[in-house]
Formats: sequence, structure tokens, C-alpha cells
Amino acid sequence: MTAIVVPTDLWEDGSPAVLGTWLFSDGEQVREGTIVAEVMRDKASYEIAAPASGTLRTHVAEDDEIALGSAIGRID
Amino acid sequence: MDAQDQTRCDALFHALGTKLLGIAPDAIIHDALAEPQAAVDEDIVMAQQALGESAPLKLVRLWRNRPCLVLPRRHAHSPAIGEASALAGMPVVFRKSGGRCVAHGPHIANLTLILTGDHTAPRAPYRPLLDLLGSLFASMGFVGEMRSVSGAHCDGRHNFAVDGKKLAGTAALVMRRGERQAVLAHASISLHFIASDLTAIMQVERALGFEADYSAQSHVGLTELLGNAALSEIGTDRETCLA
Repeated sequence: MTAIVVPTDLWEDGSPAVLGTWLFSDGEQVREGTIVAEVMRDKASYEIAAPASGTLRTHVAEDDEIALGSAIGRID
Repeated sequence: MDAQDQTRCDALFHALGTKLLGIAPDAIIHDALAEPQAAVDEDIVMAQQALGESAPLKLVRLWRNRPCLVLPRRHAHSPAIGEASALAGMPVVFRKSGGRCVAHGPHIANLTLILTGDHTAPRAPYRPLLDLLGSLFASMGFVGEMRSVSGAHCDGRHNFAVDGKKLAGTAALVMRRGERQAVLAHASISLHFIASDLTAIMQVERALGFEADYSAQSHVGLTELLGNAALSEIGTDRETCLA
């Protein structure tokens, strides 16, 4: 299992963001490096890549608040 | 928009292009594109190509689109998107950056800045674009400020506002491919404000479940700001347009 973590260096002030959208559904197969989600903050969209290949498991829903460094899902 | 407004917008767009080339000589000017989604996607194509280059790049694109509404792609799969699109009265297309619904058309100039490598400032994605906007508008004789505007559509902290009214809105996309990253920031500059855009935007956003209550008084276009003297200098005064 590999956690999908919001990188801690995406923005400066550490303020929260929201999970904009998942580009794959829970349970879908994804490949390492594929963009699987978008994090939204301040009208900016930050792409989140799959850290490994496998089955995507989503932990948060669209529009849920998230923080830098938090795990938003995992790859099994 | 009548023929005179159209002519003014054409002349303003070309004047903006001329000013931009004085600031960014390698800027790409795209006008009269064929298909709304392809025009929007061209930004992404450019960013992806830039990500594939080993050298740090700075790409600037000034462009217009056919009349359409543009939504963040997260809404493409909304159960309400069919109803919302039917209310739009024009094509609805999707972008990868954030924010809410915006209008495109001959009265809107879009300015895109793509930075890769050492040029990027992903932690402050709007700063280079706002600097460019500031230089561009200063070359036309007026200054603005970065601020939120109450009552403006697709509002955000990084609007370019003049006298408290929104002249340009911004949105951004930060792309990463391994260790490489690109920051794409774009602005929609109102050449000529059209109130019916707000009506269409509000209808679409309400269909998507948003509270949307925007005011024409919160927006301004370049035609209003520049005044007749300045418009005359760039050939967009009333007499020229009617000639």
C-alpha cells in the first residue's frame, strides 16, 4: 500500500485547500505517474500523481477540506 | 454586441498584442480560433510541450475564443451539466484550472503565461502573471490592484481590478511530471463588458448548485476605462468605427 499524499511544498502559507476532483474512481487501476486528482486552492489547480501502480482507493470526497501533507487516498 | 463594439474589440485586441510584444517579444498571438474547446486546450498542449523540454521556458500567449462559457473540468461529470449547458445559450467547454464559470468571446482577451524549470514559482503561481498584466496595462496608461471584488463572477484574490471593478480574472494550473513542473496561469481580460454574460453565467452556476448573484456594477471593460481620447489613438474611436 502506498499513500497518496498532498506534497508539503505546493504552496507557501500552509492554508487548507479542497479536493477538487478525482480523475479516476475508487477501485480503478492506475499507473504510477498518472494524474489521479486535482487539489484546488485560490482558483489554482494542483495535479496529484499516483505514487505507484495499482488499485486506487480514495479517502476523501470532492470538496472535502484537505491540508498539505495529508493522505487523500492510497494505491493498493 | 453590435458592429461598432466588435470593431473596437478587434482593435483593442490588436493594440494589446502590440503592447505585449513590446514587453514579451516572443509572445504568441492567437485570434479567431476554430473551435472553443480546442482553443482552451491549446494552453495545455503548450504546457505539456514545455514540460518535455529540458531548458526552462517562459511562454506567453494572447488569444481570443469564439463565444462560449468555460468551466473547470470537475463539472464535466456533474449530473446537472446537461441542464446547465442547455441554459447557457452558447457552447460550454472545460478547462483544467480552478475557479468558477467564465465567458469567452471576441470581447474577452485571454493572456496565458506558462513557466517551467527555474522560471516557475509554484508556491505563488499568480505573481509572474500579475506582474505581466501590470506592465501591460501600465503601458496603456492606467494602473490597477490585485484584489477580490465583491459581486464579481469567478471572484478571487488575484483579480486585476481598476477603481474597485474587476477588469481581469485569473486562474492557474500547476503540473508536475516527476521532478519537472510547469505553472500555467491565465487571465481573462474584459475588452468590453457585456451584462448578458453574467446572466448566462448565473444560470449555469445555479443549475450546478451554486449560489450565484453577480452584479454588472462590479465589472469593467477596457472600452470604458480607456475613454475616447485613448480609443482614438488606437483607432477605436466612434468615428473610426463608423467609417
